[in-house]
Amino acid sequence: VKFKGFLTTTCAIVFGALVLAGTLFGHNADGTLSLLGELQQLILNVAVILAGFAVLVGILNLLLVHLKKVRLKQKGAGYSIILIVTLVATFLLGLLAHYIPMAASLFSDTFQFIQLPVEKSLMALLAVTLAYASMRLLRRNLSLVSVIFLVTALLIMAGMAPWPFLGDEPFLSGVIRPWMTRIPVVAGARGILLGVALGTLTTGLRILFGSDRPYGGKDG
Amino acid sequence: MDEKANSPGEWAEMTFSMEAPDLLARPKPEPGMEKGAEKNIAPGDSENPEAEHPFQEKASSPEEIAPDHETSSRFENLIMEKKDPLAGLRGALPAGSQVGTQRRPPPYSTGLQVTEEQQRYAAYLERLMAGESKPAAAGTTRRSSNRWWRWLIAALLVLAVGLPFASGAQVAPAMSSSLDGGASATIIDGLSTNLPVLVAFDYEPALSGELEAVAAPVMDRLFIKGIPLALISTSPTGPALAERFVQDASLVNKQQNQGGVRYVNLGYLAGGPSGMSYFASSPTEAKPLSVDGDSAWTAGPLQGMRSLSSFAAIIILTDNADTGRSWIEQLGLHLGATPMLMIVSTQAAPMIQPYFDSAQIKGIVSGLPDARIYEQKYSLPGLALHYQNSYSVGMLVAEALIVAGAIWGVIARRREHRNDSRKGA
Repeated sequence: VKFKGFLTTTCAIVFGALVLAGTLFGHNADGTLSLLGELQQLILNVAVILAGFAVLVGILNLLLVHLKKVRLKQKGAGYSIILIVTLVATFLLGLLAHYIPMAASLFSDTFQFIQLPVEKSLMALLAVTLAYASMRLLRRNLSLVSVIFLVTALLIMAGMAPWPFLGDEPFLSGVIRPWMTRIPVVAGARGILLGVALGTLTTGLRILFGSDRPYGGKDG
Repeated sequence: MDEKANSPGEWAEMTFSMEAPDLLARPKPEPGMEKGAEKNIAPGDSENPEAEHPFQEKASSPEEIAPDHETSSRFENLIMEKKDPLAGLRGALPAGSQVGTQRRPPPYSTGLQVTEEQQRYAAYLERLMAGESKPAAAGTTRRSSNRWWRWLIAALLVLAVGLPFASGAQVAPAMSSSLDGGASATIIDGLSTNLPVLVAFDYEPALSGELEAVAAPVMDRLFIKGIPLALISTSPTGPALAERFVQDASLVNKQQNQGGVRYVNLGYLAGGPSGMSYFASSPTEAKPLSVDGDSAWTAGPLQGMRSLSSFAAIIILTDNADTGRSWIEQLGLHLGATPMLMIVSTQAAPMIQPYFDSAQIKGIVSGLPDARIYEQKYSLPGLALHYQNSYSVGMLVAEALIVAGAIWGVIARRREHRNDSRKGA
C-alpha cells in the first residue's frame, strides 16, 4: 500500500509539473513547439485516451452491476433487465451504424425518439415543480431570507420576458432587470469565479507538492 | 409501595406504565379507619391544613403507634421467665428477637388524599396520556387537496404555454436590446465565407429545447452565408445533438446541409478540460477523424487547417456555466485573433457575462429574447418567435401563481399560529 501511494504521488507530481512547464515554456521563440511543449502534448494525448477508455470501463461496470442484480434476483431486477437489453442493443446499433445504413437510422431514431423526449419531459416537469415549490415557500418557511429570495425571483422573472400585449415594462425591463443582472448578479458571479480560480490554483499546488492525494495514498 | 406490587420491580413497572397509577384514583377508606380519616383529613378542614396537600399520606398519631392497655396486659401475661436466674419473674424484658413480636402493627392507609378538583385534573392528565399513545389520524383530506392543487397548477401552466403556441397568436411584442448589444451579430456579419467556424455542441438533451431555439437564428445565418462548420462536443450525447441540429429542417430554415461538404462532425472529445487543452494546442492530432471515420483535416471544409487560430470564429453552445468556463480558459491562449462567441441558456448567462465584460469572449447570445432579436434583425421568423409567445404568457401565469401562493401561505401561517395560540390558552 505504501509503494502504491508513493508511485501515484510521484506520477501526479511529475506529470503535473511537466504539463505546467509545457504550458509556460511550451513554445520556442519562433513559435514552434519546444521539448516541454511536445511532452505536454504527449501527456495530454494519453490523458484523453485514458478518459475515453474510462467511459467504456464505466459502462462495463454498470453492465456488471446490473447483471449481478439479475443473477441474485434482487429488488428491481426487472429494471436491470430492461437496462441491460437496451444498453446492449444501443451499443450494437452504434457499432453497426458505420457499416449498415439501417442500423445508422435506428441508432439515430433511438436518440431522437426515446432519449430526447424523455429528458425534455423531465425538464418540463421541473418547471411545474419549481412553480409549486415557490408558491409554498412562505407557507413552509416565513423568514426574511425567503421573502428576499421570492421577491428577487419575481422581479427577475417579470423583467426577463416581455409582458403579453404590453411588451417591455419600462421600469422592470429598463431599470430593475438591467440593474440586477449587471450589478448584483455579475458581482456574485465574479466572486464565485474568483473563488473557483483561487480554489483551483490551491488544489493544483497541493497536488504538485503532494499534500493532497485524491488519486490514492495517505490522504486519498 | 402499593400493596398490589409484590416486589420493587413490579412497582417500577406499574409506575412507568402508561396507565394512570392507583394513587390518582379516588381513595377508599379502609374498614375501621373511616371515622379517623373523616376526622383528621377532611378536605377544607381548617384545623387540618395538611389535608389539602394531595400527596400527603395520612399521618399516624402517637396514640395509634403506642400499644393500648389490653395489648399491654396480654404482653405482661405472656412474658414470664422460665429459666434461671430470672425464673418466675413477670415483666422482665424479653431477650433478643422476642422484642415486639407480639405487637400487632396498626393499620396504615396507603391512599392519597385528593380533592375533587385534583381528581379532575388527574383524569384530564390520564386522557392526555392516553391520547398521546394513540397514532394521529393521517390528514387524507389535506393530501388530496394538495394533489388537486398540483394538478391545477400544472394544467394552468400547460394551458398558458400551449395555447399561444397552438393558436399562433402574436402576444409578445418585439424586443429592443440584446445582452451583448448586438456584438455577436456584428461579428457574424463580418465573417469570411472562406474559413470554417468551429461550433461546440456542449449541452444536454434536456435543455435542447431552449438551446436549439436560441442557436437556430445564429446557425441559420452562418448557413445562409455559406460558411462551413466543424462540429465538436465534450458531451457523449453532443455529436448526436449536433447531427440532429444541422439536419433538422425546422431549425435551419429548410436548408439542406450535407455532411462532409457544408460541415464536418468531429464527434466526441473525451477528457473534459484536458481534452479541450489538447484540442486547442493540436486540433489535428486530438480529433484526426470525423464521426464517419473519414480523415477530417485532409479533405472537405477543414482541409489545410492546422490550428484554432485558422478558424474564422469559435462558437460554444452550452447550458452549463462550468463547461463554458472551461472552453474559455483552455482555448483562450490559442485563439489569436479568432473571436469566440457563446450561445448559452438563460441560467448560464450570469456566469458567462463577466467573460464578455472582460473581452475574453466577443459576443454572447442568451435566451429567447436575444434569439428573437436576431430573428427580427435578419427577418428570419423561427422558433424563438413561436416560443416567445408561450414564454411570455407562461412566465406571467407563473408569476401570478407564485404571488397568489405566497399571499395564501402567509395567511395560512397566521391562521395556524392563531389557532395554536387559542389551543395553548
